[in-house]
Amino acid sequence: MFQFDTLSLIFVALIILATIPNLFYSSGYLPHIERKIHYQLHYFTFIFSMLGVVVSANALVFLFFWELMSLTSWQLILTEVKEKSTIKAARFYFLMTHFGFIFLLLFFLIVTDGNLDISFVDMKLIASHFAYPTMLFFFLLLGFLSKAGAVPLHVWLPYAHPEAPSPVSALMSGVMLKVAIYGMFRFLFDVLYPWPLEWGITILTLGALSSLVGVLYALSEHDIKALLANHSIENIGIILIGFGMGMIFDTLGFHILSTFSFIAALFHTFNHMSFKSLLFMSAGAVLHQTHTKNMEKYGGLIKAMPVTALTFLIAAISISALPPSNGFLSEWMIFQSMLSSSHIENISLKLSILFAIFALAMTGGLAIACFVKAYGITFLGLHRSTNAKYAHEVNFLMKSGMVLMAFIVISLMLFTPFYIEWFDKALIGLGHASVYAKIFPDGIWNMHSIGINGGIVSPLILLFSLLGITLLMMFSYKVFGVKTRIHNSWACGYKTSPKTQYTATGFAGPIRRFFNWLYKPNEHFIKQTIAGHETKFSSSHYKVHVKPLFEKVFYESVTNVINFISYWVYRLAHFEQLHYAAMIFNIMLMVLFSYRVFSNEFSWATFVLEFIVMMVSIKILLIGDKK
Amino acid sequence: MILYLFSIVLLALIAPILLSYIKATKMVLLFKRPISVFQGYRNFAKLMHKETIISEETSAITTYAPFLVLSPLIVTMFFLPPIVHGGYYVSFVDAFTITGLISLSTFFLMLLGLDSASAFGGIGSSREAFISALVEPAMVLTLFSISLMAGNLGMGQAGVNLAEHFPKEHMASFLFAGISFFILLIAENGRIPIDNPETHLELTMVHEAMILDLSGVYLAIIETAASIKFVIFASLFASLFIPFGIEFSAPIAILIFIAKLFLIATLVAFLEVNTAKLRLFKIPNLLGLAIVFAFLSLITFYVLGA
Amino acid sequence: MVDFLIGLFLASLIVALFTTRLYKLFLWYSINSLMLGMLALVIGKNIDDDAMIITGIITIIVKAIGIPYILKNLSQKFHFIRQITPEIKVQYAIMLIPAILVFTFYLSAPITSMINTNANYVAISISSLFLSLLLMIEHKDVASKIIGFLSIENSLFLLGISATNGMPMLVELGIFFDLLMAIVVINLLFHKEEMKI
Repeated sequence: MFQFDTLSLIFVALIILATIPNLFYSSGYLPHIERKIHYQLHYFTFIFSMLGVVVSANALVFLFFWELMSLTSWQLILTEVKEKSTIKAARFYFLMTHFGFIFLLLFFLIVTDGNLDISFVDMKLIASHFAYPTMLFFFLLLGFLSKAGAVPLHVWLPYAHPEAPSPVSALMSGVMLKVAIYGMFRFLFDVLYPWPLEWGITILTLGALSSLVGVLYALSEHDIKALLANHSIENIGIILIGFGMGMIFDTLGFHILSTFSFIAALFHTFNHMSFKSLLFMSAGAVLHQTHTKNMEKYGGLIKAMPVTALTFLIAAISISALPPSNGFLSEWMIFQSMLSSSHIENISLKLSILFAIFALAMTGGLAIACFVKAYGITFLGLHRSTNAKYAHEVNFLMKSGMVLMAFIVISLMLFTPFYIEWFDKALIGLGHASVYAKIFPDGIWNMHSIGINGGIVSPLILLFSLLGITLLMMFSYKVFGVKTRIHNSWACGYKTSPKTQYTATGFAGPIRRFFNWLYKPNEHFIKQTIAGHETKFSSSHYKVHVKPLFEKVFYESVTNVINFISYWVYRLAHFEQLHYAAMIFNIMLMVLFSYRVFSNEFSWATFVLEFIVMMVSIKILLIGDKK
Repeated sequence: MILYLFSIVLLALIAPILLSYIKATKMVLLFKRPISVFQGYRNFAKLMHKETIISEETSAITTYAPFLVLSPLIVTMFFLPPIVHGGYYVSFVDAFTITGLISLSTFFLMLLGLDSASAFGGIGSSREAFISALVEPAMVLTLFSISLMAGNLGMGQAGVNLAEHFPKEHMASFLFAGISFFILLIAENGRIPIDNPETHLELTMVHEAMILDLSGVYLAIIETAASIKFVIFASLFASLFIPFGIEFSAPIAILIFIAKLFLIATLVAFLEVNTAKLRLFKIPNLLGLAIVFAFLSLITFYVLGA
Repeated sequence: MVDFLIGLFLASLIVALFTTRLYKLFLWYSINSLMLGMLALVIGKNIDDDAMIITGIITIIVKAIGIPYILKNLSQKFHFIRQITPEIKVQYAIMLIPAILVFTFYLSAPITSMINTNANYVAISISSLFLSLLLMIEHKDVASKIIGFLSIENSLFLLGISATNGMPMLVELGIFFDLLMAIVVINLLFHKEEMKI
């Protein structure tokens, strides 16, 4: 029924670490929620169900808790229904999560042979006899990645996460996505073990794409919670890059490198949990004070809310992968595992990994830009709205939740060796080689890469030297007793006012213009010119809206196709006897053909032949001649 | 160990001279009367005596960020490759840490720009964010390539390895990586095709716009940070891409190293005189070139082994 | 040394792909040809082939100095637009050029295995062939198309000297005369075009 091996325990620890600060924060947030009982009931069931997923030992329990998790989180999104968009987002989330669920169900029905309460080890036996393991792999991928939010199944994330109450978005983004990563670890290792090379490459490609797409859409976003949700897509991408590299190395027989990459992925999972929860909490605090999610209405909040600003800064440094933060360490490990690809013999694989390195490095650069924007526009400068002017620090419980989470972020940086030893144990449990002794060969100070010409990083030395030098300089500044005078900003002689500041839209302007071919934004520019002069105007209004390309391409075209099909079915509905007979004929043909394809040996030639026969029969019997 | 500390102090002292030297060379080339090469020190001394004016719109970020801009760069100085044979060098830091530290410094500089609530600071930060996002991939790929040729990702060790075994057989990819790194040197330090460090015109400002509202000691700190950043990049270029002259005895090796630094500064000055500042949206052309060369270097290394 | 020159050859071609000014393009073409000529000289010296040394000298004189000079004169005479913006955006070019390089290096792997000496150069010359085609594709104006055409010739020349240790002298001389003729014909055509107007 339940199992408690190291992998499960690691994820239990992840959930607990994320939940404890969240409980404080949530109880501070509670007075502002109208439907208190509804919220609390679902909140605790949600946490409980996530714990259930990671410790379950058979398919039935797993699916039960998985579905419970989906349903409670769906209800939590609907806690505060004030606008129609909330209902729409919740519906979208419900659809997407059940889309994934169907594939998981299919996967389990195949690997358990219908007997849902057998253990994972028995599943492996059945799966190894199944003729098409790649199909199982894709079922898993669709099932888990639709939950984790990897490209192209990420579209629900920027809608659903912002609509939930802030503690819930912190949990959803910080933990629920990680439960899907747990699923990937659990079932790829336990059930589908010998992986073909293509699987690893698929995951690597998806990861590289997700990281780039996530950060690019985050940059163009003004809604602070949607920005963070887009960053979750990016970080899931980074985790998947590590995961994919691990799979590739494992297939090619580099067992030590493979363990290293998996540890990197697990470590980044933890780090993302910590800083993303913290970011959502701080964003929630800001939102709570200013009553808007629009970043253009913030500004200057650092003076009113110093604790929130400090915690947000810590998380922002960590998520931008700047040394010596924990985010830097895990991204460093993922980079190192990719650089170890120089050991691979296969030249075309080696060359394609270069493009993944490029994607990850680009992501790093853009993430820095994005968090400078998020931090600078939200907390620095002058207030841009009345609400921001009269904002003040949040209550003690919410503050303590954020501070606790900040400690977890810092602890992940300080106790890296401890965590890595633990992840190492989990991977030994999954039948991989141990690498702890190779990462830390001489004490906890230096972290080594496994590759032949890999690098070394020493987080603690970096941290202490940075702190030491900064403090020394600040001390000498104090000792010299430099005179300081407070005066208003010079700004080349112009007067500064909230309106002359840079906006979030303006900040991301150059990058948006460079990636115009991807964004294809809708721009509205209204200018009231004076006496026909191009450059003189009394008022102007600029609005830009970016609609995600994936949504346009995949989802809207799917809707169009479905519309078309339903229209066609509607036309068929004026049934005649002949049509009934023809339909039954075609369905029987299809059943027979698909039986042939799936149970006998598969060959492309017969498949194409049968497909053509099907099409011809449909054309002749069902559609008939045009009248 | 003494040599190691001496070389760090030497680099720190040479940093303002290098920037003044570039300026002086440019002035000579433009038939102007050149400034003294010690102008950097004079400016520093002048700024140190002034009082600091803090804008009333700013927050704690302005109080702390200047130190946080400078300190990662100072830490980076300790991790550079050795400049004399058999000298001590830090073996536990690799290329990613160095790029990370430089990004950390840029991160706080960008926040500093946004803190004073002026439109100029925003311009500077926004442009700097754009440029540094494009620099990042080229930097990582170039350093990866050079680490493959040097056989180590640690910068100190890589410098030593390259000096001992110059990669003659990988000449082509070495050259490509060198070109890419030189473009990055220009881009990261805001020299002319990317940014003009001498004007205060909002069309061209990147680095200057961010520090417009700083004065006194804070300005001195940021200016020092800029010069130290240049010396870091120049000495990385000198140790990794011109790895000669380290095998002589210590005084001669140091002299050769300084000569290399001045050579790089002269190159930059010539480039600045001969090219016009690029429009902001033309900058990706130059940085794209760096990215392509970094790719090319790795591809040639892998496929052709050349 | 040969590696170094061949690297500069490819580098100057790639820089040419990113240029937006006509005279800069001529400059890069001239550097490209200079590298080619030096390469011919070095290889000729290595294998003691007088013919190749002569072609190298002719290459430097004709292609590195002569043709860019003539083209510059031409463009001044006929007032060509000196700003040439590539049709392919830099965002795509960043990805496209590495992809072409990977692809051609990958494709030429079976060819390089047949050749014993200087096997790598074949790969580089084939990829530079593709890159010069790209140069022709990405520009709409005549002058840069001419440069693209001349770069194709350069890369074929590189293929010749590196793969076969030099084509027969006669063939190379013939190619030079063809090139000069082509330039003359272009000149004539422009004259005619101007007369019409």
